[in-house]
Amino acid sequence: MAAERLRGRYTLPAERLGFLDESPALEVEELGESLWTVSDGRDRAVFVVWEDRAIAWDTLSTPGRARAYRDAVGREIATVVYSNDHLERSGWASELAPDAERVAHEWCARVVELRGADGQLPATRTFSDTLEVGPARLIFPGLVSATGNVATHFPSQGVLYAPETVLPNARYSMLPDWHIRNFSPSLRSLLALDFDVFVPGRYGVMSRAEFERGIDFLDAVHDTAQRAFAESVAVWLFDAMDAYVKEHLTAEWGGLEGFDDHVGIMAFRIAHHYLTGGWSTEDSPAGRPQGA
Amino acid sequence: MSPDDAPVSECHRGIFTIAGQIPSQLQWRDMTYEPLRGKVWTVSEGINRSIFVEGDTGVVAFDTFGSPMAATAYQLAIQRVLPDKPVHTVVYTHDHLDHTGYAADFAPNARIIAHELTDAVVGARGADGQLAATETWSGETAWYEIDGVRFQLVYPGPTHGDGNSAAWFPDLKLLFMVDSIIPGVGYTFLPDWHLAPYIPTVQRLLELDWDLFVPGHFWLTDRGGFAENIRWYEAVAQIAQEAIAEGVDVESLPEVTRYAQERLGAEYGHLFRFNEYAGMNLLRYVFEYLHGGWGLEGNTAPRHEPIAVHDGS
Repeated sequence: MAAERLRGRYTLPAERLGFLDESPALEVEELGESLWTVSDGRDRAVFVVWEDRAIAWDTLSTPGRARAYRDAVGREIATVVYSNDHLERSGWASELAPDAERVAHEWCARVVELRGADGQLPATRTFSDTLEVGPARLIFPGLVSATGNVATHFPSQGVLYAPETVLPNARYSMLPDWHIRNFSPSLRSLLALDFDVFVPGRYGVMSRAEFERGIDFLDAVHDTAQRAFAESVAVWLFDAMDAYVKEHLTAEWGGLEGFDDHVGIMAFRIAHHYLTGGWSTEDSPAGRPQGA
Repeated sequence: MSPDDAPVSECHRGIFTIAGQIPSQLQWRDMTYEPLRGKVWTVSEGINRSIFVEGDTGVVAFDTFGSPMAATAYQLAIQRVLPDKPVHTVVYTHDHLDHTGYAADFAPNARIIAHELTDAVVGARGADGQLAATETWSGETAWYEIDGVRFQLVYPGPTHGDGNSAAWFPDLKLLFMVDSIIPGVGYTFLPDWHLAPYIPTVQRLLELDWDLFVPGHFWLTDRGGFAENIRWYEAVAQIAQEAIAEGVDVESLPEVTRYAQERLGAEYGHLFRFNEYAGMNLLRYVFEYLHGGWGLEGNTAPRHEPIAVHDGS
């Protein structure tokens, strides 16, 4: 009997979901002793070999890519760590390693369970602040984006992996599911860790200096968007907001790839934070999800 | 600068953290107002809209508008219409500052009613100018008779913000709900929308007996306009998935806007502000499918059973 097609949240007819099964060649790069990063050209994850078995972070973005990731690891995956709840990050453990232990922050685990998406298996072990997993330390730095989004520190290799945080470019789009009030202090807290290499969840591997400059860029957009709204730039007029932030930010940040297409909608999103007051208790000083 | 460092200025600051004056908080807003049905009035500064109701001795007002000056203008508009009747009650529809952020300027001594989900955010936020509720309600419905004003509050499930609730006036066949249905494509990138439960949740409101709908922005509509707006959401949900399936650069607003114009323009291009916001609406829906919904609110299963109707007796 043919298995039913995995579809996450998609409601398109099965014949339109072929893209979920595409399985591109993955690029695998060694970052340090027993630590590797894997990428399909856009999304990126990491895995380690630990006591002859593998620990894999996240699942890549589709069932097909999860299977390619499994093949790239090439050995038994004993543990899968969910960096956050988003399906394109951790939605396909059923294809990557269905029998593995699954580790997640407790808030992430709660959303995964509530969602019940077909390929996203529930967590089997949760934590709240930090947790040692093999040679790595999982750290919840406070809210940045998504729910229960954690960073992973590999102290021996001097590597930090933290998806849905800083990118090597300006392709942040509408800062989807970001928590505007709290992201900056949460990100800056990670600078207390000892690392030289930063692995983002998308695009290329970065240096520590690039990570820090990425936070500076996000802060600059945040500050400029707030000032735009305070100065009565119409919060509903995209062209006005786009022009304002480009006038103020292009000189310093215009060289970032994707700046022209993305900075306007980033600022538009942030201005709406000040218009609405933030979204739920996540965007309040409490910094926690509704009901947590 | 942290919020604690921000200097006190002559107006309430919401959650702004920058120092000095906030010109947008001090910008005057002209209000227009008109009677609707019975003793219900609607008021708008051209973008936001609310209602207030004349009671026997005072006024039951919904929301506060979105800045200290707008709240003051709202108060003055009510005084102009009902000069001898103070606002003794404010009902918060939901937690966002652009609708309920400035009771301190609007009616600082009023009784304030809010759903418990709304008040939880208001309390956690601690915004300058947004007062906590003096009483909360919970669950899906609550019936109120205040100073001769009769209405049922309805929390149909997650739609937008926290605790976003409708006010139903069964005697007048009038339904008021903010930040859900509006005429056209007016809601930018659908900020703080909970898309997975959204459509079935707002559809439940069609089970109530009403023929006049007052939205939180722009102009009034009816059951046909309400249903038309739901069809827009259904179309965007479908086309967002197709954009992903076809390999559109779905992070890029310009690319997504081009796709929205191409796929939705023929049927929906006549809608109010389609050219401005169709791409943003689509961008938000793209992330819904890529991510699987945001947070607990965006992953709560919608309810489908009929809303309990209070007979008012």
